[in-house]
Amino acid sequence: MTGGRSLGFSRDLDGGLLAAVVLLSAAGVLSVYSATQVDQPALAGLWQRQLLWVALGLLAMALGAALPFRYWEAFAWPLYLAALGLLVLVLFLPAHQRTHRWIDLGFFQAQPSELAKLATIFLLASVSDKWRKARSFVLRYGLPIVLTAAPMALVLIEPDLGTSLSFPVILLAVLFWRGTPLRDIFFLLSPLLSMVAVFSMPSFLVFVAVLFGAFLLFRVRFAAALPLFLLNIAIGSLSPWLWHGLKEYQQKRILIFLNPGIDPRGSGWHVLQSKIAIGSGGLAGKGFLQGTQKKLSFLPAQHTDFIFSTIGEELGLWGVLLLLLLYGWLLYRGIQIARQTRNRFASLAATGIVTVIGFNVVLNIGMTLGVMPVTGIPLPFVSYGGSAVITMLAMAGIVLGIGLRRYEY
Amino acid sequence: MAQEIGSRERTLALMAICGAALSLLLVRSAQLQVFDSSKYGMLSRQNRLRRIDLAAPRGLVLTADSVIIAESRPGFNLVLFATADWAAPVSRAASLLALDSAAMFAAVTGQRRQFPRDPVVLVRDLPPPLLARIEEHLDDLPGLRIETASLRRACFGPVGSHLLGFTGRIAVNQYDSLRDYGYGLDDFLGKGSLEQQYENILRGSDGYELYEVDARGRERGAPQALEPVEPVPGSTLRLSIDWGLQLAAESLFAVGQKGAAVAIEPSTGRILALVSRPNFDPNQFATGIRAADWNRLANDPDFPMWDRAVRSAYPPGSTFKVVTAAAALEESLITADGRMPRACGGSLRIGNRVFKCWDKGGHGSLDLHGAMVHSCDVYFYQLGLALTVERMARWSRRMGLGDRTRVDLPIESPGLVPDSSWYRRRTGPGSWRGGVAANMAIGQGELMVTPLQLASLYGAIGNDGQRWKPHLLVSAETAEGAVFRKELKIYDRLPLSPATIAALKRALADVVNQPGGTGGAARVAGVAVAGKTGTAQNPHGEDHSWFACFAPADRPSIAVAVLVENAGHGSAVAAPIAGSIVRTYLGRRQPRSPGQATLAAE
Ligand SMILES: [Zn+2]
Repeated sequence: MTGGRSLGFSRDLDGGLLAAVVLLSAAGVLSVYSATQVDQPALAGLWQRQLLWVALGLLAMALGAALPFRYWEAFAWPLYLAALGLLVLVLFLPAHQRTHRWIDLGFFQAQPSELAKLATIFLLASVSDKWRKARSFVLRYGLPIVLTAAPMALVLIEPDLGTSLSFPVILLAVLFWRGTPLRDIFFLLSPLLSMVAVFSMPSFLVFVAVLFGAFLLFRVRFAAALPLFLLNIAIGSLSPWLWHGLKEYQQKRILIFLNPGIDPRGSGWHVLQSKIAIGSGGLAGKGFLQGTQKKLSFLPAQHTDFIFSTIGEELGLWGVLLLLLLYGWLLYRGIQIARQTRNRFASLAATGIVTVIGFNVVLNIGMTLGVMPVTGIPLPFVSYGGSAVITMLAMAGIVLGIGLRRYEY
Repeated sequence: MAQEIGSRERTLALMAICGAALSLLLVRSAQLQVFDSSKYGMLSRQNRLRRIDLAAPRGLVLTADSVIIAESRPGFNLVLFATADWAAPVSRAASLLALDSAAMFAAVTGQRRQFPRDPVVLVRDLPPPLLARIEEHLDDLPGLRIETASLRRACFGPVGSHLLGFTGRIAVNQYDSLRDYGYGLDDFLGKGSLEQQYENILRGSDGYELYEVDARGRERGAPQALEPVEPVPGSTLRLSIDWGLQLAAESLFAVGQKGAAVAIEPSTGRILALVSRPNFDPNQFATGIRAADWNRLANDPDFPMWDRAVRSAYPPGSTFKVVTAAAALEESLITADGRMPRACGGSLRIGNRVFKCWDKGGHGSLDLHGAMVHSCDVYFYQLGLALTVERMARWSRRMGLGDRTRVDLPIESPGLVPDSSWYRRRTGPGSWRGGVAANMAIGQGELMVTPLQLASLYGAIGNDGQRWKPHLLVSAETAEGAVFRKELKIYDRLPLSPATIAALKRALADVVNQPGGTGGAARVAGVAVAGKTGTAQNPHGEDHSWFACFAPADRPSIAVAVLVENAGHGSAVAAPIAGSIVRTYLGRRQPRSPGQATLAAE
């Protein structure tokens, strides 16, 4: 079972995952078609381009599946450094819409942060497995944190707050999957909790109580608990100081990010329009191509970031359920592949990819439903856009490729 | 050793997390699409939700003596909302107001070409009779609406205009980058000076209300489900400006006189008055400036919009001699009572050029004190030759020239301190050296300072070398009165020894108060003023007149720099203005002490 790549190809190909990805991409093309049926000449014909992106993406997927995962591991460092280089380069290129996110390739705009996510997954999967049993705290946790923070910081200054959030999620997923004790994960996260909790007295008291609960639960010795406690308090008390160091408009951006309702003209308005579109769809929806909110194009991004609101309006709760089931099935198959894969690097990489896909789904749909911050994160496989569609399909292809070789060591 | 999580548990946990997250999305979707679907369905069916912005009033600007110099007043605009069938109501409104409907049509189509969905303001700041007429007929004007706007008023018109700045409509090319910050196409924005610098404090944030409108575009009231978002008024700025002093200082300039005056409190850096003449009326911009007014302002050869106090740099003339003297003392080239090798006979020959002293009769042999008091150029030519351009440039920079003071205004000129490499770049290597150094020593040539820099420098000398960063903001408080920002008080020290500073202060006091001193015109009864005149050579016309001073000389509570363009000698024009500013400020503050009275009575 281990050797026959050519023999085992069809048998080990994860048909369920493949089907979910293809169906989602097809749903994406149809949704883009519907969302651009408005009287704006600039949007006409975008669905044909989306079809082209999907076709290119399927090629990338095939390529991703065909390449053995050893290549990814062998090239993890060069890929990572190249991604960092592109992230630096993009900062020096002319801004599009006041952000430095895109490299214009003429026919196509590439987003280096997409590559950076993949490269970070590979590198973290590679190094964190090697350093898993390292005695030194620095190797075990410090370096992975630094390797995650570097691309994250570069993406943050583009600025692209939404995409930058993927990086800590990748780190968490990889650490979790490699078998990091729950205790360590908790104490890696607790300084972040402390930084958030410190902004109000009750939440800070709750945080301190949770911290002491954790000390008891994990039976942390007093000699270790005291410095941990002090460290948490110290890092927590830094955050108001950092906050006040920000310029007023920067603070405002962050507050609007967390709560779009306070921004009357910008994102709050978009979220309201998105909720009206989805809510008015009801149980059965208004029917494909029949969305009335969509036709008035209140949402400038209704074919990209807010495409879910068109789907919700036209296909109703049943359509939403179907879409969520497809994503659920995709995630389920992805996790199964990660579980069955014997090579530790490949298993970790698959987990990282599946987590990023899931995280983007939740962030994007949550945004259109008004329960998550407004970020520029597209809906995987569905939103219009070449860079995102191709990267997502390539990622899915890599998971399929890992699945093909799940019994290799 | 803590337990690692097993493979089976990991798988289950990850699946549980994914499942839970997707389920929550489904629940939220069901909440919108099943439980709230009638509410959103209704909103979507009537669909024509119209957003009415509720303008936030811009914050007040208060001076140190609690005078309101800028406030907001409500105004009423006639606004077109409808994006279709608007021609009839717009032409009807035009005839009601007896305005040109063709111009209105052009405005609507012009804006709609670029921003098809944004409302168009047809008439701004409707006067009461027209407002009443429109409101009477509003029912017959579907798609039109009266919207309240907050309009800026500079309470003293042109007085202090360069201090305050103005608010103007957002330019179309700015709008794209500002809409993310909550600005509307029709909003006003601080432009220039404090209105621009503290835009974020003054602005507040607009609210909005959602109305339903029927198919004809008429409002039917707010839907119950949606609450209005209240506007948050802008915050109040409290300035260091002493408005009484500002008014007095402005009145000291004659109509048509161009120049600037800056008064600073040396022990804090607070700016007490900031005058630039000619000035302009910020209220012209309150509802969008008319093209004719704008052309008049922009094409005025006297540049009334230009803030001469902080944006213009001039050669400092003899006011620069304090820097030359300080550099020479610090470099130990002279002692306070040492004399120059050549006595002043009215001129000095350097190479094949003759450099004149301002006094043709000559001053004879002087020590530093005498040379400062009589402003003897020949003495300083020799000092400049000994110092060299390089060392004078270094000391100028150390004393804060050639660099922005970092006052809290959006634009400030750094002035210019040319050094030898600057001259090499400009004129190539050559024989400029001697003449340039001599000229620079008396503040002529390419060296440039702003009135603000000079006031700050003289204040620092008076304050025994402690130089406070000049600033205008004392505090910012919310409309409810909660202070959320305090003035930034920071200082550095002039790199001068106490002996040097004492020598400079003594000399500057005698410039004004000793018989025959060049600054006699700035004398103030009962107060020892210490200062220096200056005359900046102007190749394009009459020389500019300078005076810089601080008072009382021992522990100054005010430092002043005055520049009057094309007014000839500093002693004749700028010095009396500076003296009057000092007199106004100190006259109100402190009773005269007998000791000081004898000093000035002389
Ligand atoms: Zn002389």
